[in-house]
Amino acid sequence: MSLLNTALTWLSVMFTLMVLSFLYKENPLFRFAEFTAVGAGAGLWFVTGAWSIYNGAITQLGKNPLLIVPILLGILFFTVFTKWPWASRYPIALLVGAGVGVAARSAVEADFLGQITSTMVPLVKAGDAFASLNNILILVGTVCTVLYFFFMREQKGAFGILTKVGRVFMMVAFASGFGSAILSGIQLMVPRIQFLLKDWLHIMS
Amino acid sequence: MAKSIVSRILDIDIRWVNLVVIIGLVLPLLVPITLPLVVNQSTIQFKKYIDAVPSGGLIIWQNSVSLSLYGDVEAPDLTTWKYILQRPVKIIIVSFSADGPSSQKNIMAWPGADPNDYGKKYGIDWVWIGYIPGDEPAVAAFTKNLKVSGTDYSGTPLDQLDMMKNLHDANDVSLVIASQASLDVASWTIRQWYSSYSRNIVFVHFSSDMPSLMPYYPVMLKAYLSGSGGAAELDVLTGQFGIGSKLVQSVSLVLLMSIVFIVVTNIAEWISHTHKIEVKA
Repeated sequence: MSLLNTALTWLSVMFTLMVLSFLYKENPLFRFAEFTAVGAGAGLWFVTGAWSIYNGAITQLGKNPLLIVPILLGILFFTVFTKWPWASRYPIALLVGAGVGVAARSAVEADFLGQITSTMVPLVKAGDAFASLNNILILVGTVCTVLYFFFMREQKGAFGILTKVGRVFMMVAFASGFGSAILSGIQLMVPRIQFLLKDWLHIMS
Repeated sequence: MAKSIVSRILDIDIRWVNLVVIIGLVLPLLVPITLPLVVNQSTIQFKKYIDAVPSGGLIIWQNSVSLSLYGDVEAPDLTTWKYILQRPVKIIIVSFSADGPSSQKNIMAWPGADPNDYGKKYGIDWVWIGYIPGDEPAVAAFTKNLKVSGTDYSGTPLDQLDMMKNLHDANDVSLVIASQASLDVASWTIRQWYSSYSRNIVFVHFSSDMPSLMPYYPVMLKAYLSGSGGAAELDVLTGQFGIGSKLVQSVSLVLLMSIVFIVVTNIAEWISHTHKIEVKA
């Protein structure tokens, strides 16, 4: 292992242990590691962004002079620090307008029609009782949950029972989200522990 | 006696729980244990969609994984990346988050994850475009023109690369494998690749977000892998023994422990309410 690799491993170990020290209690070492991560992240974003502008626009100006337009629009952002901050609104307006326009074009299909289509499943699947049960649950869960947000009628009687069923399905969905959050936390932790055991302590094959 | 046990459970110092969790994580890594692993239908479909890409077909490997959440996505990302390198397909790597290229570098630094190891030549079998800034409009622009960035990650004009000469837009793409740890990038991908061009999309995604993506599955999102569990399942299907298979045992053991903690503390909490037992915290 080269000297550089060894130094990088030790640096990485140091920051991992600083972060893990939070499990004992909040302390200055943890805060130092936290702030360093935020700073390094911001630096990475800045460098990648600057490189993209240089690589994708400035070096291409000779081939495509029209690229001067987005470059100038980008420079207008910095007028927010000058006496003419209103000028920064033009690139912002363009970004918001283009973003909303591009998203709206496909949002109806992806976020509305497509999701309704996903619930249109055969209720009975021959020879597969589990799939049939799943599909029935999807239908009942979707209908009852949507009914819960139907505010034109008081939630009592038969309608109230359906909305209560909808609430149960939502609780299950929240529990699923909470369970996944626990899972993610563990999954983020395991590679760090593996790194400590394998690359630092060399006690794992 | 019961009161004493209940109050002890509810008064336990959280640091003891942390210590037990750490031990649960470390043990399976040092002493391999074998917990059962069931392969999900989605993982089977995930592999089928990759296998269905014809020889010479184009896969878009959209790596937009944030480095801060890289640990969760690394195992399925690596397993999938190694598997597509074994296939006779062409690959374009592109990122729509600024730290995507760094995540891709990390993936390609693993042993057996370099395209050269599989006889894939740069510019002929694979091209690395790098980060395209601009969020969803950038994804839309890329689907409309695969050469929209002008140059690849190292600054070489895309027109000079053989592979890019006959590639134009999303219609030339056989499969989109989108790897990300953000719901935003996931929805841009679905809106621009599926709604506009009906391309097949599979995800390698941050496990915490998966329940939120279920409404897209299986119509718009054809299949998905998440976390080391997903990686281990793909390992089983592809006959590999990768990082996912090693990590999943730790994850499973700690999840079992978490379930025990949650059940025991909830029962204790319920008893403390019904029997009016006072606890410190």
